Amino acid sequence: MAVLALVPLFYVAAYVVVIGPVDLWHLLARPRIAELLRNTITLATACMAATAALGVALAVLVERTDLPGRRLWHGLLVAPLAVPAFVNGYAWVSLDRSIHGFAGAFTVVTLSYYPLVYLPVVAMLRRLDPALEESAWSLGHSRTRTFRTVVLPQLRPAVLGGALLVGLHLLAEFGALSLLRFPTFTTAIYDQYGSTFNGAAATAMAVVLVLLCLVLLLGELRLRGDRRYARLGRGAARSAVPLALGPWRLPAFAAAGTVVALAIGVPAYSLLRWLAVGTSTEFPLAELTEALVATVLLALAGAVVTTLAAIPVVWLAVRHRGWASTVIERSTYVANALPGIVVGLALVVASLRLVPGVYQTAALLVAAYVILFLPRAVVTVRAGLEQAPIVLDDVAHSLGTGPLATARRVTLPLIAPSLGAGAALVFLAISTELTATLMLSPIGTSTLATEFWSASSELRYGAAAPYALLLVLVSIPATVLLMRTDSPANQTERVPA
Amino acid sequence: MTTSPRRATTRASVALAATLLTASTLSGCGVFGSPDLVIYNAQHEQLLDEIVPLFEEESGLDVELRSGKDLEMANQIVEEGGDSPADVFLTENSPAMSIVDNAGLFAELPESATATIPEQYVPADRTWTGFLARSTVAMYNTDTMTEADMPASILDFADPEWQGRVAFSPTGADFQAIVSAVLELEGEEATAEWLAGLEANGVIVQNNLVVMQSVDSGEVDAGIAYHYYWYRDRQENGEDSDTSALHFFGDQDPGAFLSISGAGILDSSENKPAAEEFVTWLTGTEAQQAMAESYALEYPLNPDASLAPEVKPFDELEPPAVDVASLNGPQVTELMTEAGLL
Amino acid sequence: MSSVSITGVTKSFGATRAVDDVTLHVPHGSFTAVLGPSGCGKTTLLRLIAGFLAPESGSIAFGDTVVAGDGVRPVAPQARRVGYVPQEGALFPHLDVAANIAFGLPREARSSGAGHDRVGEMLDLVELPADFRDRRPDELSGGQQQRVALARSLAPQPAVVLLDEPFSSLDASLRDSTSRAVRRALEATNTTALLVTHDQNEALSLADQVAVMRAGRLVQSAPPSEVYLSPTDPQVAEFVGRAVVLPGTATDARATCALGEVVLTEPTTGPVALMIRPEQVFVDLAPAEGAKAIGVRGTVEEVSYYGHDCAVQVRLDEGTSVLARMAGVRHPGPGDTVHLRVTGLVRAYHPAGAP
Repeated sequence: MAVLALVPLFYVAAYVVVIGPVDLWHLLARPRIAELLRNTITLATACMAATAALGVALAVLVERTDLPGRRLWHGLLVAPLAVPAFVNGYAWVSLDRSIHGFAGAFTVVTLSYYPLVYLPVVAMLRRLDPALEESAWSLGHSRTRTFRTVVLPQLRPAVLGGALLVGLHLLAEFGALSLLRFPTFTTAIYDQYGSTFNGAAATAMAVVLVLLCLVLLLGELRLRGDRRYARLGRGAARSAVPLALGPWRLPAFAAAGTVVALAIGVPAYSLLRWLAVGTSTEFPLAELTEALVATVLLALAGAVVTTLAAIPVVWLAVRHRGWASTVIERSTYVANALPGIVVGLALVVASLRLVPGVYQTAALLVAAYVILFLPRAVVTVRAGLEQAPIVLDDVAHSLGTGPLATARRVTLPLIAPSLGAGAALVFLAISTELTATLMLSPIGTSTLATEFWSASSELRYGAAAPYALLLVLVSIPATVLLMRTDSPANQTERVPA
Repeated sequence: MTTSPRRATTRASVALAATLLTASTLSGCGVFGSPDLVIYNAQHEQLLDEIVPLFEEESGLDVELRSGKDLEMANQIVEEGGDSPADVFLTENSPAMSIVDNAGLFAELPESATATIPEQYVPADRTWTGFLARSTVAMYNTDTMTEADMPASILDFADPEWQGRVAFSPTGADFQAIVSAVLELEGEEATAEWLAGLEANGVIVQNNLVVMQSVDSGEVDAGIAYHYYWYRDRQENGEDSDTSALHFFGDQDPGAFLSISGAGILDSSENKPAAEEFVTWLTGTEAQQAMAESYALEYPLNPDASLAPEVKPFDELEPPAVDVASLNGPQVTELMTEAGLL
Repeated sequence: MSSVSITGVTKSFGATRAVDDVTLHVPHGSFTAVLGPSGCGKTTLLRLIAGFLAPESGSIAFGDTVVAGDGVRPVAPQARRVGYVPQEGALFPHLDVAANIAFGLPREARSSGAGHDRVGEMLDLVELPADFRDRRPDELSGGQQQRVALARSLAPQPAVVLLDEPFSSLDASLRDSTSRAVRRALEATNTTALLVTHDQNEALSLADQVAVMRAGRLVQSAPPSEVYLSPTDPQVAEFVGRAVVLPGTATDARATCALGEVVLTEPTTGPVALMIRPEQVFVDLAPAEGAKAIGVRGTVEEVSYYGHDCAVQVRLDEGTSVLARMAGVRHPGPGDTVHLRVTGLVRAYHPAGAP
């Protein structure tokens, strides 16, 4: 399984060897790469900063002030997660075509991704022991100074972790940036793929993209390590006394309202408008159903296989700790930092060269999903297995049960809920996956995402609308799952798409 | 009394059943099943979605389409080699046909398949045939520009006076075909220079529809595309073409390049009779007329079929003479990559 | 049911010898407590017996059957027929009480009336009401959970039951009632049992035999009263209860020390260390007017009052500090002057360790 996860890395590395350093340098040392690098880094930096600021501000507003209707706000502020970024990009650009380039990409991506910071910060705020703040108060610090000196430093890991996640998402983002006409490495690789199928230039760009991802991933892994120490006893008995907003109540209300209006209102309005008045609006019920069925079946198969694949990885990591099992577990994360576009490219080439029989089959597409989303399942299942004490295995053995029977009668039933949660997360991730699906879907199979893409990239906005709506509907359950900050998905660090 | 283990077993069997169901249903959808004919289609998906059902009805054959872009699919077929599941390959532009042809992967077409197509649109060895044509055009914004402001040659867009004023879509196969014509007609050096000028001047957008919208909204003064985008919008509602007009280059300028959509049969095909039936049907009068009357507004190559009168008549075009079999896709990609357009 | 014989068993983790040449016999039907501080190797010993670990040398036998060592391929845990009762949280959380108890029964029995009856029998044995069978583990108190865990381990009629600090997570009142119930259940089924604990009260009050471990070695195994009153060395003495250890000089059956003259358990001669239990130190409060106080005079430094009794720390006039235990009915306060003397026999150790 880990080998499968590493196929994309092998592919990139092997290609570098094949191209050779001279040609690779020739492909990299050109103005286009500099432009893409500038675009990618600027956008990533700006969005990480903006989502961090927005995420923290909103989380504090909802968790620590007397803003009226805080529970409702929480739901509304998480809701953008249910709108895939490429659907959001479509919503904006189809409303006003002047929204494009850096400004457009920055706006749309920030509005789509800020919940990735908001959620962990809210979770952290809930876990923080208010006694710490109270003791700072009692030592004569003001509320604001206490917040700055006591609360903010403790939020740091959550904020940085969330921002890095935004960065990794952004590096892999294709649909939104392509619609908003802001070229980054991912969109450029796809363009090259479209022109050459398997060109050296595309792979050279993939090398840079992979390096960028690894930089962020290493940062994430380091943080993950630190975070263990930073984490406090969960479930503080009391919640903190909310800060009275006083005269700031109205501006705060307006600010949160603006974010919600932009992040949810605009896509909702745009979508409904295109559904209702788009000149090319059609409701091809048969095609919609077909795409929905294909999406659900692929996502179901992908979720089952991915979750099953996660079991041995998790079992090794939790029950047989050692450097080898750590390497296996981590390797799945490394592969996860690779954008769908690189995974797709690698699987196309690897399958054609090594196992031509699987090329253009659902099996290969499912394999891509496994590589892309295995970490989500691993994280969730791992949380489950860690809560299944090994002493229960000992007890079962002492009662005359062999290892296999123990797995069947004790371990599996115990981790069943986390298997379910992991499978659900993977299911939902697959149902909105675009790039790998575009590259690998079998002949005649189109999913909601690919149908949406084919319509929206031909500017048939009306025709794209029903697919966009279904994509949003399909994403809602995952969002609800993530909204419950005590869900396993939030207890453990979430991993990038 | 041991309710929970039983529940777990049930859950496991549900998962297993779901997997089996998935596999069987996917095969039912055609993923694992084998249709009578597999077409790798790089032409507009919407067009094929309109005409393929006509063929299916007439022939009783089950056709499966895989859609993509010209060069992507051409390179994919080359990469797939003898294992390619494709029976027929359709493109928007001829450079992609040349890639597959140069790899020796096409079978010779039956005479019936090319009988209705004028010979300049069929390579000498009859490895593929043209079936539709599209004319290169410039669009301009009618608020800021007049026909008189438009250049005589498409090469003039590389001049500094067009800085920031011209839109095009370098990632599209259409533009790449136009570049291949420039390369064929003007040579490598002039093409590289022209591309460098365009890279400096141009507003790069994602596809020809966006080119048209950018011109119509006044974001740019002019754009390079094919004729039918503008006519289609006029025909539909005119929303994106009401403040723009077409400028046809004349006098055999590279900008008057007529690009040929091609159809070919893969030598590796195991369904050759069906493939031949399809290509023959595609070039026949009935299909050609059906395409002419469709939303597409591309020029049919069968002289018996005719397009709506609003579109500039085929015989009024003044395209340069380009050998359809000679356009070089890979070199274009290289030149464009070097120019920083890809 | 069978006896357990551990002979010369050694087990190391890296450079540490967790269990070092331990030999111990647990007679058939008896209850043995392995007592030691945390890290002494007692849990490792238990895991060796259960089969979760294999010894490097030495052998373990149930009755006449060798299950590990002596060149025999270790018998797998599931084939040893040991009942294992671990610390808290060891019930299968996904199963109800009945399914937990029936877990180790053969498949046919689990789904038949026989299994149902056996579960009832076991619930009865551990003194839980029959209607507990449908409860989920998280609906039980800690003590009830441990009773169910015992019932689960006893249901398949194991050769031996191993209890790994099963009461340590219970609070004081539950601990006593639960451990009594466990003891009764084991007695009623005449089951050979081995309990691992760091709590000397638990070990002394429950077991027929107490085996004291220190740093991987077995230092003493004997009935509870012998371990308490005649520990192998002063460290064991201090581990199994509070002890006052004073230097003294022995002459035959008597010895003198800071608390005056004491009577020895065994006659000896020369410089010795004397082990006196605090309850052997009699505290004489202010003697009646005119009467002569008996014993060594000292000043009370600290009093810890427990209700049923109290511990009094006294600084003798000559400087030594001594702990005494007395009934809590009437006790001195800090600063009071008292007189101390030793009652009963006193165990003497030669400095080298052996008496």
